[in-house]
Amino acid sequence: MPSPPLLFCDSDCLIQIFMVNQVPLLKWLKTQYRVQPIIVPEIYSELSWNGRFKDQFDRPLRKAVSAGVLSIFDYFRPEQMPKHLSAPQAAIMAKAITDTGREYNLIVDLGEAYSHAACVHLGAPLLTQDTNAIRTLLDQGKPTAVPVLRVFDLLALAFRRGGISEKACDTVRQLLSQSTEFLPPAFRNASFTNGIKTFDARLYDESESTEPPPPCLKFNDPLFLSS
Amino acid sequence: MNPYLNVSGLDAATCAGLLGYSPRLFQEWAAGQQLIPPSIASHIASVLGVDANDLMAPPKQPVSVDEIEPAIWFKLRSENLGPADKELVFLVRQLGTFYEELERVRSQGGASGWQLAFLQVRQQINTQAPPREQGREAAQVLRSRMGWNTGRTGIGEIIRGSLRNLGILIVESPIRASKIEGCAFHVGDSQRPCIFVNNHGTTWFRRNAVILHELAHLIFDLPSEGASLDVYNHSPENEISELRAEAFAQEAAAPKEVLAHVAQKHGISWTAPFKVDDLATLVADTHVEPRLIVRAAIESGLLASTQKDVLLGLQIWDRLKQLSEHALSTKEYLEFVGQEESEPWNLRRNTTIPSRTLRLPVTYVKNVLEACEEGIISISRAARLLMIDEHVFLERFKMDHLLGAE
Repeated sequence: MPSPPLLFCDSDCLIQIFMVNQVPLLKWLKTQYRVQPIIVPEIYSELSWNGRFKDQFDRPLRKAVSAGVLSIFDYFRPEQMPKHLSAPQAAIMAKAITDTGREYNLIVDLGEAYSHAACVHLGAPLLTQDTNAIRTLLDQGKPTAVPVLRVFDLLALAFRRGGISEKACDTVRQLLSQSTEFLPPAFRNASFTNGIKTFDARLYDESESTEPPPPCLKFNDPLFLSS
Repeated sequence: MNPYLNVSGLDAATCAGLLGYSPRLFQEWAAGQQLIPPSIASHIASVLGVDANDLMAPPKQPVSVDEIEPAIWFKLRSENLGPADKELVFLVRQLGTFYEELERVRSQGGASGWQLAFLQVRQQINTQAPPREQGREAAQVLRSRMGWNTGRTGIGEIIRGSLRNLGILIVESPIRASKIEGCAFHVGDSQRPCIFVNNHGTTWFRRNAVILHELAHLIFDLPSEGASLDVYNHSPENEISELRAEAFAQEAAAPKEVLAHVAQKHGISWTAPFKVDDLATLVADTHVEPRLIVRAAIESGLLASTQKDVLLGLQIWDRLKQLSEHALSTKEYLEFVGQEESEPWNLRRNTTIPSRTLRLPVTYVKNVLEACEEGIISISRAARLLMIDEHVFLERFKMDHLLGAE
């Protein structure tokens, strides 16, 4: 199964990645698996100015975008839609994402509303740790992105595939813990080395599976990438 | 500068600060260097009162402000109001928009009975009559339609609820630096009517009249003028709309039958010399301030006009506090109900994201929290609606349990 071409990213995950200076992790994903990390413009706005961190992440954000590590998906412009879509299909897709995003934004916040909307219509995965938003959407019968990944899914994959050292992973864990940032339960009271043993990872290299990867149907299903 | 962003008279940095956007990005949107996403254009447009499409694709040619300036900003400009008032209106319109969005998810679309009610009131009055007569007639029609005339007593405790049931948004919030006492405008896609009352340094009794005054503007003036603004201690006597609204508020709150009934119930004679206790009782039971009672009583022939100064000179406040909890200050009220019960609501209603702090109405905060607890909206959405950061939300309202298992 080919890797998804795009990985949409939510503000909460990118804030963690900027906070621990791990933009190279996104670059590694792009180089290794040809998966382009991408954000909707609402996420760009939330990262440029955040109620808690103000403009702390504006500079790394712009740097990541200008370097092409992060792309911006202007979903409202049909010409930005996947190339295999015809012009009328692209226009329909753009409208569908806009309408779904508007509908979702009544119940979840702006960035995640449009991120989930884009993922739902494009069949793309989403990097987000906002499980409350996912539960709220699902409880109201709204489909969410499938699958949903966390920063530690990315970190664990990179670690297992030799893209990042164990020491660097543990530094990330410590920094996030010190900043009272979200950590998956397995890493809350354990070092990276110990935590990864019980971590329910959702992101794998296809070579890590002996069987054909199952299709992703639920938000917490694992995703297998091909290099 | 995008002319549609400029209509408020506030610069890009101020707008960005009030709405919680990046000043850099907002400047780029305003200068046309970046496309404004439709969702954000829609948010800014609803606050400004312009069309989102115009924000996203402003005209290449220069546009005259007169051609595009929404009514609310025109009124602010023509009343010579300052930056604080403009910022207040900006924030209040944002609050109104959020309020409307919350109501849509909570009540599956929100009530729209106001349209029919307003139409019925307008149809049943004689538009050729003098303005004050129009106001009185309209108040009588509305009192009857809303059931406010049953019991022949004050309506202060029921007007907010019954107007909300009609789908009208009512926002009461203290804005210290503003000269605006009340305003009315439409918000959201459904053009829902919204009444704002500045409750800084004013009483609940006064605010009841202000709500009714703004309601009159909503019924009569908003269809043609788009917005209304009322400034403290400034009521133009030569404007039809103001005379009508004033008479409407007076007749809706204190018609002759209510004044007569309340006085009779407490054994108060309109012709005998008034005592402090008499006036305090009238205020407590009619739910409006002494000035309005005196004016209404004189106009309805219950009170001799020579009594006006005597009544208005009575110091009723201490006695009124014994008769009505509505007369208590916030501090006194907290002591009255018990600090433990009310403390969270007193201290946790301030916004933190906008550059100017707004104290949100208790009902609104409660509705947001309820919607979040019930899983109707997410934590991040609830924080956005309260104009605070998500971390502040979790800490302030002890909502960590909603984060649940991973």
